[in-house]
Amino acid sequence: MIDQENPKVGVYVCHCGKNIADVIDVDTLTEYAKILPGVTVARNYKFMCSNTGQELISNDIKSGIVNRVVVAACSPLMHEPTFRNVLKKMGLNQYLFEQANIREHISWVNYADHGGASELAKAHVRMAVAKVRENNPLATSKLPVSQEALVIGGGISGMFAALAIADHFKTYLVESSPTIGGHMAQLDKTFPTMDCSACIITPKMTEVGRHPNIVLMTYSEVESVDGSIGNLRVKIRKKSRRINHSLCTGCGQCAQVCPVTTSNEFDLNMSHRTAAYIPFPQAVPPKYTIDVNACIECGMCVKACEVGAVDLNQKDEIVDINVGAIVVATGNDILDPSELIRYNYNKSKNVLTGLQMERLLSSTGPTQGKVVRPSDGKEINSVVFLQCVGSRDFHEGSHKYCSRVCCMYALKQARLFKEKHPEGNAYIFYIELRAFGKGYEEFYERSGRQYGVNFIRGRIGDVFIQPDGSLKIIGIDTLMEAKIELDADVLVLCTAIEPRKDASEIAKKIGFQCTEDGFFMEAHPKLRPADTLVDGVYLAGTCQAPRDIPDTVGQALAAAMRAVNFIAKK
Amino acid sequence: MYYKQTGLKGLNPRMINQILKGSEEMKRIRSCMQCGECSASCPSGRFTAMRTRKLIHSALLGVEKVLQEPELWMCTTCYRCLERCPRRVPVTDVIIALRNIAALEGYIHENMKNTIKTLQKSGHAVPLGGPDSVYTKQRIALNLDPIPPTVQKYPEALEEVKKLFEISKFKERISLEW
Amino acid sequence: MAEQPSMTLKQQVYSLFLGCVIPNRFPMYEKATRVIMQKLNVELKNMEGASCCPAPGAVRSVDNKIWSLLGARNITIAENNKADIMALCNGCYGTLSDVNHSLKTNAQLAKEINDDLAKINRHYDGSINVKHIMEILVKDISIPRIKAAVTRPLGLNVAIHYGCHLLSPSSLRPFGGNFENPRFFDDLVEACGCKSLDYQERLLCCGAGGGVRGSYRDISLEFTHQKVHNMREAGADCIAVACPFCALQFDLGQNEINEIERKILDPDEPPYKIPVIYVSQLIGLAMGIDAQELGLIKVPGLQNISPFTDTSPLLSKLKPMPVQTPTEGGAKI
Repeated sequence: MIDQENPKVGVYVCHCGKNIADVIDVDTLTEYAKILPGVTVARNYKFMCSNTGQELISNDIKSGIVNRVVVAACSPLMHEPTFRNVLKKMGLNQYLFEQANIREHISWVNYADHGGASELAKAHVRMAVAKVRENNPLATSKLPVSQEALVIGGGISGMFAALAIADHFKTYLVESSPTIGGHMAQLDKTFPTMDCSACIITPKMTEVGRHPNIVLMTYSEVESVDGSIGNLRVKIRKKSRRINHSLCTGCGQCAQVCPVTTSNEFDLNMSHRTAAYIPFPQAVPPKYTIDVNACIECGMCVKACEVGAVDLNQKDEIVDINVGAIVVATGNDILDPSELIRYNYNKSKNVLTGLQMERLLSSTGPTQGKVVRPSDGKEINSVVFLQCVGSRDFHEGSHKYCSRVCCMYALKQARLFKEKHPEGNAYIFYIELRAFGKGYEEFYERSGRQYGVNFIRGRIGDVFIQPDGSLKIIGIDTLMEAKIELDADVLVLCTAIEPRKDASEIAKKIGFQCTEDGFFMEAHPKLRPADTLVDGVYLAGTCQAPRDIPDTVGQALAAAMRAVNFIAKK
Repeated sequence: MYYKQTGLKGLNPRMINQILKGSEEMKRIRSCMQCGECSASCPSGRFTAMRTRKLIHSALLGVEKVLQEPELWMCTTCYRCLERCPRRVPVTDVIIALRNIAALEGYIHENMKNTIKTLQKSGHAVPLGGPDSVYTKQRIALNLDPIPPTVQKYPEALEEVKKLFEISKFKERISLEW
Repeated sequence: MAEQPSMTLKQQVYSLFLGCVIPNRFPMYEKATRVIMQKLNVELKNMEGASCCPAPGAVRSVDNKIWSLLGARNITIAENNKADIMALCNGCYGTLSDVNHSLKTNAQLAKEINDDLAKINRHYDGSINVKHIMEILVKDISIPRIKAAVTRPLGLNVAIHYGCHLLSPSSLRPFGGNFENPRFFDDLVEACGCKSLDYQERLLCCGAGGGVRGSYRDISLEFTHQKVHNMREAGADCIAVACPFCALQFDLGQNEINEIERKILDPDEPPYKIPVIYVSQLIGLAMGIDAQELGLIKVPGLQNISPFTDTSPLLSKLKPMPVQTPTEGGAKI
């Protein structure tokens, strides 16, 4: 048994090649360490993490001159486990170890001031020695991890994550709108395969709906998160939908008789719905909701419902759960182009965002897929797309990043328009046309060659509204070096994908960070895209960055795997 | 090496180096992605050959010919390009900087030369023209002081203005065929 | 939108910067400004010995050094007055405000300028601010206070022309972020009982700036033509400006556009004659001051002077003065 009571501290200063030694005087530092109280030996070496370096420590422990270890080197995030392992192998409690970070914290940030850095290093070593003298041997204990998981957000990323986790563990899926499906349910076709979006997603939705291991809570939001890693106590608010879902059969009588009309957010305010509504026919759960903000409590629905499911007095309900892991999959918003006055978005119904155009093209949309002008229902002869609206834009209130998917969806929408109106004209104003994924460049090429989409490299300067509601668009064709004047029926602004307005609140509730662009922060931009810096909390989908469907699914499955691995440790 | 071609060659970084010596904002010219937002917004570009985007590209790349382009002087400094540029390039200021560089080489529009000569002589770009001028009479008819309280009324002030031209060695730098 | 005046108790004092075009070509704008400021209890100190600002179009384009020097010299005159500058012209405002900003934020440049100014016994202190008359009217005096002084709502359809240097570069201007949709001049004009017309491209440049009026007259007139065409289409009774150079471009420019030889008018397009009115004159009329006093009636007997576009259509469209109480005498035009 090694004497662990009277501290005998060994200090090992690492050169880290030139990283530390070029800035800090390692010899002076070693001599300084020797005189600190409790220090019995101090050495320095080129690479302490190497086998030779480790042997320096293990030999000193074996010969009994050291029973506490300080290594002054890189960040503990790099090699703390390495050195702790050395102590463990030599029979010393691995927590009788301290690592002074004299690389990331000193030599790397003070490379211009060698004198100052060396002084700082002495201070760090002194502090580490003082601490390690007081360290008690610690035993690791194990805490049980809740064997349930929570997925926040019922869009495509949330659904795939939930389905993957639910193969192993009970999963709660919380979604704030009345149905799962997310933005993907709003899309018509998807690039590059031109799969009908609803057709590929509705089977997943029903699978989620009937999965025995998924507890689906729609029209619900996360109220608070407490507890500790592995045992997160989450309060979920089930918002009042004034309809008892255990009775509702989805017959739709309530909607039939409801006298209130309000804007339909699923159609991005291009159509109306009643206060009692279902977002779209294939909604999951296939039941109705009453919008409390629009409801006038006339009671017509109460009378009309044959199973008595309507309960106008229904209150919000708080549900408590305890989960081991959370996958955050809350998705994205779209930038509102109202602030960009020159495009006249607020003044003309014929200026649309990309998602609005998607609804216009969609057979479940406000015009059942007939591509007509929103202002007067006339056929569209000419549609113009403008890329990079609010993206790649360093103004306040816009976003510096590229939104990744807009070039592809503009191509897709232009193609869909040309499919329905081969004699019409589609123009895409682009800066670069980004077609990065599998099959994307080929999709781009075919859009020009087979479908006759026109490409103008440039920007739009002004949009004038003609008396008949059509648009006169003035832009620049940089390749022709000429101003260009186009008459268009519809202008589609491919606006930026942006974090949800309440994103920072969610991050705060759970305790992870956002990056400068407002999206949730991954643990490492390259190597840990689905993790947050909080163990047990993972990210999936566009809440972390703009993303297309293939990458979203990939990341969702990655996040699910991480969650499963975490919980499976029990 | 022998290579026959007549396109761009001999690019010279001196214009961009000069521009980069300006304020911090001027350094943003390097962020230009040539998107064309400036040209799209430029009102001059509607009735002339002025292509704002190309002027910036010429400056960045070092195409000397831009200093002789008449388009350089067609900008009314309305600032639309600067306000709308997504990379926050101070476009209008770059155009003015290019004009400054061109002026040092002697490329200045005749009209501007005349304006500056008038300024140097009278302290005003648009002077009153003396006590007998119709504009002085207009002032009198409106019950204003015949001579406004500017350099036109205070000869020592006009001397200060002239002295500043000398101190700044203006005539040595800019040749206006004085 | 009610804005609280920033100076209520102390008498407001400004150094009046006249520039070139106003005192030497459009002196009635100087007159109208002096008259309304007196009525609004604002003291104007002369800037004795002020020169051309110097002109941002010609001078700044050619040489930054002399532009900064002459601008700084003008600022020192106001510093000696110990009163912020009131600039009446967008161009002068642009120059003086930008020079002031450069010198306040770049110590090296300020030192170089001061080394030169020392040779004419002047020193730039950075002690005053440069304001445009619009900023003073809207923020320092405030629209409610002006509205309270309005005794004669004018009932005109006004096409407002903001001009460019008043609003841009927006990061250096006090009017808030949205340079694409400013409302303050419209609010001021509406406080005078007028309707501000939403004509197409209301924020387009007049075309005069950057030296273009001098160097490429016809190009500048293309800008002006687009503007007056849109203004006429919207039913404008007059063009309201905050800058004498814009005023010149519209006032004399319309005559130039009408010249057949220039071929700017479209065939069969009637000539343009929309009267131009400066902000001080508009406010003065609304305050019940008569048009003569504000220089809105052309001085007879002199050739080639402003206004170049006849103002009588504007004057005849004005709603009559409200009837005075019997003790004060009859109504005036």
